[in-house]
Amino acid sequence: MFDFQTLWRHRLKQHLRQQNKYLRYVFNDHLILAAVFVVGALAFWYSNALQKISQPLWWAQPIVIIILALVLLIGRLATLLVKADQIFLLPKEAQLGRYLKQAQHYSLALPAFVMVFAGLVLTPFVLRATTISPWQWLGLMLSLFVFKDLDLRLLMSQLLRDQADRQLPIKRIWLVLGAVVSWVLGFYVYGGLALILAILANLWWRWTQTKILPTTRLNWRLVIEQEASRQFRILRFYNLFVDVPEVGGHVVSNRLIDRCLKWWQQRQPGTFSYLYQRAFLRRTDYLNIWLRFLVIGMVLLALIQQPVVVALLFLLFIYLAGYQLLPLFHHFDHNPLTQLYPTTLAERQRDFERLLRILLLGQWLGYSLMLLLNGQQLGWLVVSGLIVAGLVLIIVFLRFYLPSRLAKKRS
Amino acid sequence: MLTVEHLSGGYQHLQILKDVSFKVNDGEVVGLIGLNGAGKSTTIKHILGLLPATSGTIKIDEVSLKSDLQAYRQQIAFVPETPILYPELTLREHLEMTIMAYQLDSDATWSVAEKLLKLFRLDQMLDWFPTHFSKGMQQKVMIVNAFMTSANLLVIDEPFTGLDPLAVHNLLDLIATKKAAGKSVLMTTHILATAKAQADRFILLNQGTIRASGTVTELATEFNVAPNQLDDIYLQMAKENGDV
Repeated sequence: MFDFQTLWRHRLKQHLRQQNKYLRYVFNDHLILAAVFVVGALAFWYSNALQKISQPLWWAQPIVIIILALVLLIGRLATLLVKADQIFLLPKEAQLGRYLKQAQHYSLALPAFVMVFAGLVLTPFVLRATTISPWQWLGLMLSLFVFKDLDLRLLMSQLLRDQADRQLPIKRIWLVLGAVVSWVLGFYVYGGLALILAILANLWWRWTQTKILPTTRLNWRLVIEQEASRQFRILRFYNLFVDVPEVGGHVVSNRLIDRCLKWWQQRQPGTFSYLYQRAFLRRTDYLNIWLRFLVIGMVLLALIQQPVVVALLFLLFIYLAGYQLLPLFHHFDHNPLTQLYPTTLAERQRDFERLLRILLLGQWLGYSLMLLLNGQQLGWLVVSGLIVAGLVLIIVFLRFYLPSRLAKKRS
Repeated sequence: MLTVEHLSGGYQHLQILKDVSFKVNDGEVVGLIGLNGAGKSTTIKHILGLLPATSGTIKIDEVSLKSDLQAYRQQIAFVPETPILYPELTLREHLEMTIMAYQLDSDATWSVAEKLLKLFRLDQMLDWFPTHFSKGMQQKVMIVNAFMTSANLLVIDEPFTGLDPLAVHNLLDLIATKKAAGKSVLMTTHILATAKAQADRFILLNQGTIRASGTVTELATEFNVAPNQLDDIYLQMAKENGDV
């Protein structure tokens, strides 16, 4: 017999299976290695920065409040409902409440993880740079959880048909503003106040909803639209690491991109160069990967001045940028046109290598610039050695690693 | 000329085609017809080289996929049933891409393309991306893309689906032009009444084998239906299969 609890369990199982499938690609060996270095470098920098704080800082509370507000906005409601549900589940809509409650609980899981992480990172800074006691800070952090629960309840109420016309963004802004006010009171008056205000707001909202919830029905169009867009965002993230077929063409085009394409095409002509250049610049995913590696790498290389860490980061980031861009080679595999063109695999591989060459040289140039800026501290011999090593790495990557990876994938 | 000899194949765990042989001569239009699941699209996939055959040979003017993949594909232009465009490319860029891939003369091909674009009322949409096109318009893009090449074999899968009557009329005219130029055309369709305007012959597939082939009159005689009631063939086929 059909019941919503079983349906939720089934959906959640399917959803987690999909996440598991893609997360394996996200947390690949390369990324973990990079994360170890990046987290290590950032922790080292953070720890040094903390050592320098000897007295309370006036700007510490505002910064922490802004971070808490941003953390509060992380995480949407995951209903796991699909398009077909609006037809097949419609007759049983009145019994959907239990399903949605479970969805709400599940939706709190990821934000809870982020909140715990943010709390752990912020605690040493808060205790050093403000006058708040550990217990009061704990109260403040707990208020964040209570506000997040309220946030999810607000999001749920928007999905009910009678409430759909109300403007949720304003309500969410009110919630964030209310939370900010309570944290200001928590920091400057008494830490427990933030928690008390959060609990009162949460209870008040629950009380108002007890009257509305049993009588209202779902705004199916909105529920399905929101869930589809939430899932799409997740899949787009996974698409940065592995080709996700469900992610369609999110394409951006403007004059700047068109000019870049014209410039690029003149320098690197070729049937597949034509395709890859457009995919790289017009699909935000690939451009974002490249830019992220470039910017994060440059910032880290500017901040860190230990030769061994710098050398590892410099070479690792060039390698990782290349590695993360490899799925672009297969980006057009789902389109039969690509297979029907009278072109050869060698031609396609050559065009991809050319594209990757220019992108990796861009990374190398940006990172080398940072090395040169830190030349005095790192030593000129180290800097020049690294710049040459970076070039050698790019040659090895393109000439040996790339063909072997592509051959392995084909087999 | 397309030659298919003793073709058997299908998907990895699903054998669909069994010993299929036929020819499409130069300057000939052949309609591949049959009920859903008869093997029409599978046959086309084998001809395009998108599926490997279990056995048999497929040649275009004596060139096979195995002997020279590039030369073989140079001879085929394809119009799929469902438009397959690159979301990242504008209409102009799709045509440019085809010119590059087929190594066509740019000026000459663009002059052909411009006429086709005008015919299908796409000439003002050259800088549009596929997301801006309706399904019918996307199908027209695929038609322009295929018909502007100089390929000797045109493979057209369900060409009339989603097209407006004017576009269907234009497409039939274009097929006639290609036929007059000595090109071979193989098209799958369910709409026999429209297809018979240009098709010289039909090949009737049923459950992965060729059940019958011939002109409209020959098929009508074989199935004992009136030539203007060709669609009744499908009913006869269903009866033969025990479906009705």
